[in-house]
Amino acid sequence: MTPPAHVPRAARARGALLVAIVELALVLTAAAPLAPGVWATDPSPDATASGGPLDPSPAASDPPLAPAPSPEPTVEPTPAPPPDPTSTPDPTPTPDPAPSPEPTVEPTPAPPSVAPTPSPTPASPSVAPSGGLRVSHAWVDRVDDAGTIVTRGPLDAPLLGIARFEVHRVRFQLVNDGDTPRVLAATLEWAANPVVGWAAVPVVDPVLDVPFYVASDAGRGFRVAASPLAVDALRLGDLVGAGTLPVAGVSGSGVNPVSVTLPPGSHTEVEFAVRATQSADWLGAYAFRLADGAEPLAGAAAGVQLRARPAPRLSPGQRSGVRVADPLPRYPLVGSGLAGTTALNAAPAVTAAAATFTSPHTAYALTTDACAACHTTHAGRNRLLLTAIAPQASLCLTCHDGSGASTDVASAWTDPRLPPNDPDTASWFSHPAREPSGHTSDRGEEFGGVLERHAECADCHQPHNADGAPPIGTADGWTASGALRGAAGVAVTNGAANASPSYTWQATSAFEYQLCFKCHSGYTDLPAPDPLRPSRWALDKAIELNPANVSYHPIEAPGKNQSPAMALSLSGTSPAKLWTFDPSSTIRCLNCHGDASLANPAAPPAPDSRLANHAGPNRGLLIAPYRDRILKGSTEAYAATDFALCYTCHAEAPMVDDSGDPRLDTNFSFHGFHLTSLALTGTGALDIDTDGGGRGNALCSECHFRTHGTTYAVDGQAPAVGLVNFAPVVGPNDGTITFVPATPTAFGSCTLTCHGKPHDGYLYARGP
Amino acid sequence: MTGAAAARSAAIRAARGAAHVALVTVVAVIFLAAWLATGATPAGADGGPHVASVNSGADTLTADGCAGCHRAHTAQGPMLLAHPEEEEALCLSCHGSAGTGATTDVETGVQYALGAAGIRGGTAAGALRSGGFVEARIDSASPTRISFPRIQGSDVVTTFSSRVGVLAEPAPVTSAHLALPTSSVAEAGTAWGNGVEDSGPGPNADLTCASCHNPHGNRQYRILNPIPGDGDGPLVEAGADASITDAALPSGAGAAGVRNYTIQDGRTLQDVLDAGLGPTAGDYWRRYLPWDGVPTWNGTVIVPATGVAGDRPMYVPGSATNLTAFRSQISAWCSACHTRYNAPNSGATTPSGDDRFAYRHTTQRTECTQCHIAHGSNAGMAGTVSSAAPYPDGSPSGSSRLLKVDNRGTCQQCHDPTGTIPYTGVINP
Repeated sequence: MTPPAHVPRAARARGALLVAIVELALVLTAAAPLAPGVWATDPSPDATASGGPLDPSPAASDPPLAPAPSPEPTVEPTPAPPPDPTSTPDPTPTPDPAPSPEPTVEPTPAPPSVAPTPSPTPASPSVAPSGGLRVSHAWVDRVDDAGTIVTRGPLDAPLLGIARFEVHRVRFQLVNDGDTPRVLAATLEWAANPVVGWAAVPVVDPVLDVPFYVASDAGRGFRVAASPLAVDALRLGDLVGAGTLPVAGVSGSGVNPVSVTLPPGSHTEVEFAVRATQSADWLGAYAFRLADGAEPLAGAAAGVQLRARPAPRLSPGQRSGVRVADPLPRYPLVGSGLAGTTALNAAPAVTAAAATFTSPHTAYALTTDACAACHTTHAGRNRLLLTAIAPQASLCLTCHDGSGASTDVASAWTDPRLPPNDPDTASWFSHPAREPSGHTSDRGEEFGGVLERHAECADCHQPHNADGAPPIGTADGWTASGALRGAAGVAVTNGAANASPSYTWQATSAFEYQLCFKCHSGYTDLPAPDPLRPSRWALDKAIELNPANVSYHPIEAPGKNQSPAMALSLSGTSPAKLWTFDPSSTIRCLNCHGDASLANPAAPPAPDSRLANHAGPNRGLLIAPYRDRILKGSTEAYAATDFALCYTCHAEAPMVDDSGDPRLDTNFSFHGFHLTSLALTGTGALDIDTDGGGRGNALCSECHFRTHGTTYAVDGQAPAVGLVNFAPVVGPNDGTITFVPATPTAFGSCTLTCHGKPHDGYLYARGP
Repeated sequence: MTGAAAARSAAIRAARGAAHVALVTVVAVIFLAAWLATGATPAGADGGPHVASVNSGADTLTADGCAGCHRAHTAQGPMLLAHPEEEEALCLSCHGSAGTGATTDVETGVQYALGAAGIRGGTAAGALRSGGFVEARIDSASPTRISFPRIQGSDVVTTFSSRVGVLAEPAPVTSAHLALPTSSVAEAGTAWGNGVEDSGPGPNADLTCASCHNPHGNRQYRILNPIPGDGDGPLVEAGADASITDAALPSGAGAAGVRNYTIQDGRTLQDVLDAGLGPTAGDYWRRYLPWDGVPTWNGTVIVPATGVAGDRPMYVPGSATNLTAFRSQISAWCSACHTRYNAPNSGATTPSGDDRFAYRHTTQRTECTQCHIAHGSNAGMAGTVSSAAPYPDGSPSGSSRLLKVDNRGTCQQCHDPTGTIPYTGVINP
């Protein structure tokens, strides 16, 4: 069927704005024949066929109750000009976030593969007389987050400046001054261009390309119900001049139509909780009318106009990161190192150099002085003839405390602000290098299938080989830095997605992540998971980071999301920005699990710098704060610091754009909506591991629960692209919990229940 | 060797010579008389007056060596010793830099050729293995390392051999077991590790030559006392003998009957002289003999270099068993004083039970004399750490600890913790 003249994209919104407003005004002022002075729809076939009978000058017949309508919206259509995505925001602190650094976001035409589904009623020729039944007044009320009316809308005039995703109540006064009772199926219809056609407003769930739906939002008091509207709750209980008696009306949420009974000589009110969707155009004007089933009722109509598109509320201090060089290609070695002549030659003899003490961790001369810095031949206090008692840190930190070495490592542990590790909650803030362990030798293999792992200094640093060489980003991951040179690790040979790789002990870690895998992969015996606390599980990072997985963070290989949106996300600004990767990059474990003391966006560290994660204030030894376990409270506002970890790489702009409009810098247009506009959306618990929890703005981790990779998605979810896997707090909708990613030509969808809100295949579009 | 050191060495030699002219004369006369009277092997043949078989009368009841040191009625020192001075002075009358009664000079660390009279000749045959108490000739500042491939399992790995050469001129010692008056060393005098478990760093000990050596001979290697000690001093002496199997005396005439105490390879002094390599030849490290033997590729596998692994302390060619026994025995002997230093191969990883000497380098796979010399070392300890490395009692010291290489280069002669030994050889099956 022909959809209403709703062209759901801002591309035509600006151009059609004036026309739409004028048309709406025409509709709202066409009730003169039925109720003089009251804006009304005109059931006359002639009226809508040409628009000619409509009186565009209602002011002369306004009733006393009707305020003078404003033919022009008070909100000027002045959307902020889109910024240049290639521009580089000022990296210096900027207290005023007003200049939006967001990339150019042009509205995207609706994908052609999904057509709107409503079946609008044809325009005015179908409107029939209703006998003694008419709509005498209409308006739109503003409600608060709890569903309580806070501002009565102007009577018989459009409510201006509403926003997407807000709930309003559209109310009509019905009058039956006939002689017979009327029972009608009061149906709310909408129109963007009443001249073209009307359609019933869908219920419960938004429908793509339909700008409104009759909302059901239990968290805000809008349960699916048609409730009585008591006489004393009628705004217009005393209908002036009609001579009818007020009777109880109906208040509907998530229901359309509702049944209304009007005795002869009565009047009442009918209201619907209506929510604007992503498809409601900014500055778009829309009309609502009431029909009895498919038959429109004569009389007044309600109207709304959306506000101008809000600029994303970027957090102060937007910064650009440090550009990460393109990864080096890695070519296989050609031939064997043993190829050559048949001669067998000894190397030239090495003659001792002059003995000078520099670092005990560099190549030793034949008269080196360094050995005695750490070893004593006959009076060792620790294994391997070390001069200090176990653990090794007691020796290493005698120099690496700022007194003898250029690197002060000790202070990371001695910082009084350092929280203690809490095994009970899997809250780790430091590697336990200062604790006694079963460590015997960094050269030995002490981790395979071992639960009681340890992290003494030499487990990560080979003191005889370490140097200051930086790691190098390659397409296969970042190489081990000089600080890790010679430290053992675990290499993996990956198989199919989600499968355990083949682990191989390496006497020397070639890649940084191989060192981490020594303890944080299935090569060891990982701690048993708490079935009630999936957020605390110690998972096999080698499995999670397998490049064969559907989605993963690019430790071992560049990520699978090679879209332009990802490129813009990585190049965009944020208040916590540290570095600027691109989709071809691989990243280091330390980019996320790094030295938080270096995470200064005003002076970001080089991506290949020393980011040692010995200890730090953020759980998981994260380089920046990341809130992922305790959900937002009902009225808790979005805060960039909650997701600073993400913002070390990713742009903030799409995360604070609550418009729902597709953007060039994200493939999911509702990031901002979920992070900033979900206050009072539920009554659930604040624990991400609790089913059905959630009551406020979302956390990243609610939809990106497993951030290393999608392997261990909970509750049987199928792995999804974009690291989409929902937390335990997110439940199924009618037994299904799925995320279907959008493409440039097809909508994506979500089917789940979050914060008590069922998503029944909610569609969304993305940019190109 | 620095000018100052050379000058000091010359002064030492001059002073020593002036002080012992009379003694040397007496000793020389005695030796000469004995040689003429017996018409047998020269008295300077190995052992001199210290050979048990001679002095004990096992071979003859006409023992002659007694008079070299004792006087029955005109003794000037205790135990009827002829010499009135310190015991060391008596020994040095033959074994000093000015002594001519023995081929071995333990003051400046050299073994001489045999002179025409059957006593010390004027030609330096080579550097003494144990160095000297006043000077030593260890080229400790210039060790050399050579690498070559080795098959390890299925892999070809790099291994290496090291050499510590000989100085052309002696250098003052920086550590010694005896602090002779002419020496510049001032040792702590502590027998580190002596005593039972948890008995502290060790007692002070006042050593003499006889603390370690038995001048009468005892068929022990280097006539070492099976139970070394300091007499009535505080040293806790071993409760059992620490025996070191000695090889039979060479039976040749002249230098062929004198043991080789140099760092050059060969059983006898004559072997060294015949090799004609000169007094600066040899290797203080002696881990592989020859030290620079290069393995070869036979088309299938790497063939190790021809030679003998190890020290060959008593020159028993091809006898690895003897070497193994020697390692254990010499370590046990040293540990008779440095009790808690004696460690098994697991000593570096298994705690000993002693709080102070908890982890110890093995003295089995690597004997004490691999890293240390017995008399004195001239190794330099100028490094930041080595110049103030703490003793087991925590007191800092720049002593060279009788090590063979400057600073802690001794470690580098066996270990390559940085994995930086270059290997440029090419193997092509």
